[in-house]
Amino acid sequence: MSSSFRTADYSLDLRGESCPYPVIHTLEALHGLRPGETIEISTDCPQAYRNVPDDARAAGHELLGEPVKEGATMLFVFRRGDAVLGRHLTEEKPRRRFGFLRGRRHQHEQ
Amino acid sequence: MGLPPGPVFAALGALSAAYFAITGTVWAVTGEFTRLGGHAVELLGADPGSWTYYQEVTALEGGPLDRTDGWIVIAMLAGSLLAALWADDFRVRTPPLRRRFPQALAGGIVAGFGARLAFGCNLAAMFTGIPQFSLHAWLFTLTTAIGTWLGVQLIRQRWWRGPTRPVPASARQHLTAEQNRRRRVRHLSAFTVIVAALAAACLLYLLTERPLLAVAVVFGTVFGALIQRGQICFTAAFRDLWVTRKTKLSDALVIGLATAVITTFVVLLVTGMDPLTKPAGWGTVIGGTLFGLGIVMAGACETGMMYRAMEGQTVAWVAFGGNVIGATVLAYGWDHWGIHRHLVASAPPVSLTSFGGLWGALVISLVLLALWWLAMSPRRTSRLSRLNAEGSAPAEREEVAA
Repeated sequence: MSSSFRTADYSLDLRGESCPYPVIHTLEALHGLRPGETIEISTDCPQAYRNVPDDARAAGHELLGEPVKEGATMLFVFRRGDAVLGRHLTEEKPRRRFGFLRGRRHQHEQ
Repeated sequence: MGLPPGPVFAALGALSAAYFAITGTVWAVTGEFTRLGGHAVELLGADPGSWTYYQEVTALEGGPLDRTDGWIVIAMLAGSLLAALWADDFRVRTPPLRRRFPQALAGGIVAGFGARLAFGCNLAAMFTGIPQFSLHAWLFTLTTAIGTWLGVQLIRQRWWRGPTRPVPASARQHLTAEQNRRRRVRHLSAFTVIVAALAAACLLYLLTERPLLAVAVVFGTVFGALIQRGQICFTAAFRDLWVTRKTKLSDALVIGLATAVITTFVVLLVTGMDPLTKPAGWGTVIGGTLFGLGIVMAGACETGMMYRAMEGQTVAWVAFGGNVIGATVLAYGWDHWGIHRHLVASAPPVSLTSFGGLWGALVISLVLLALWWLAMSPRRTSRLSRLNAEGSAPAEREEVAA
């Protein structure tokens, strides 16, 4: 069990959503992070097992370690890339900081 | 992690040609959805037998178990369920955003209506229609692509797709080994029961001299298992072009279509059968556009939603219901609202074989597929350069190129 336990800065539970929403939400969440921050994504859409890492990498982010599958749920950990590459749905919106996380991030920096 | 979509698409192409050679009908599902809708309104007290659509287009004879089309649908559902259970992909999933249900219902209705207006869905008017050298299938494919672009403009809206809410990570609860073992036992028991039922159905039909039904059971099961393992999503083949500018599934679809075109060509040449041609006209254009829009709204096309439903995705069940409703509404409007008179009656069935026979049709089809492939080149190259810029492993680069 301990081998599948990993830590990340944030987590995003996308279980129950099917494609393309896991990809859209993963990319949007990654864009909202600062370069180098990590996020754990969980999805149970079999199409997303491939699409989420594919599209996150093509957008310039890094998949950390091997994805872990537990039942129908797949867990990924990504590190946000230094720059967001390419054009896709979420990139045209102004970069959004997640308001409710700001306090925590601030403490983090201190 | 499933099978790569390119080879699976190619296998489906070859198998659908074989199915055509054996049964004389193509691999299709929406005609049967329309019949299911007909049976449903019959139960509600209406008389669909008096609707022109059920007299002239898809006859309502017997029940789903007496028809090859019916068994294709049932066996595809069974095959997808078998594959999902085997691969441990089965889980009853409900989206946290309740809006996905009305979205799937609305999309299903629009897609079901459009599909029948154009005489087929992504199968009969695309994957098994293009190999029949019917012009309507090309028109449908083009307008479906346009419809999916319209659909993406809709689902990209924040009110439609919903908010992204990451939270600070915390320790995750894992299933115990005992829980995992019990789930596997449950899934594999269900797997065994379904295999036994399908085998019994085959045996029964062979013994009672209805071999075509046995053929439908076998092919349906294989089709269903393949679309689940390969995650053969026609919606994504178009939608990904607009969402993430990814050509992977579109490329796989072109490979599958090329295989289907060539194998069907051989079947037609050897057997001397006539290719199946459907009318190409405004009905196809409007139907294809609505279909493309609807499948993006619903999140899946007619086949994608079948394997998703069997993976336990409850949204796909709603989309399935929407499809049957949309197809039945079209059947009602066929004569009652004059849809046939205004949009279909004047449309001629055009076969590409009228331009230089079978060989001419083969050349035209392959050239069109090559143009499709070339049109996607800028997107393919741009994605590849982004992946290489990140210094990803060589294996990953090849995967994208494939």
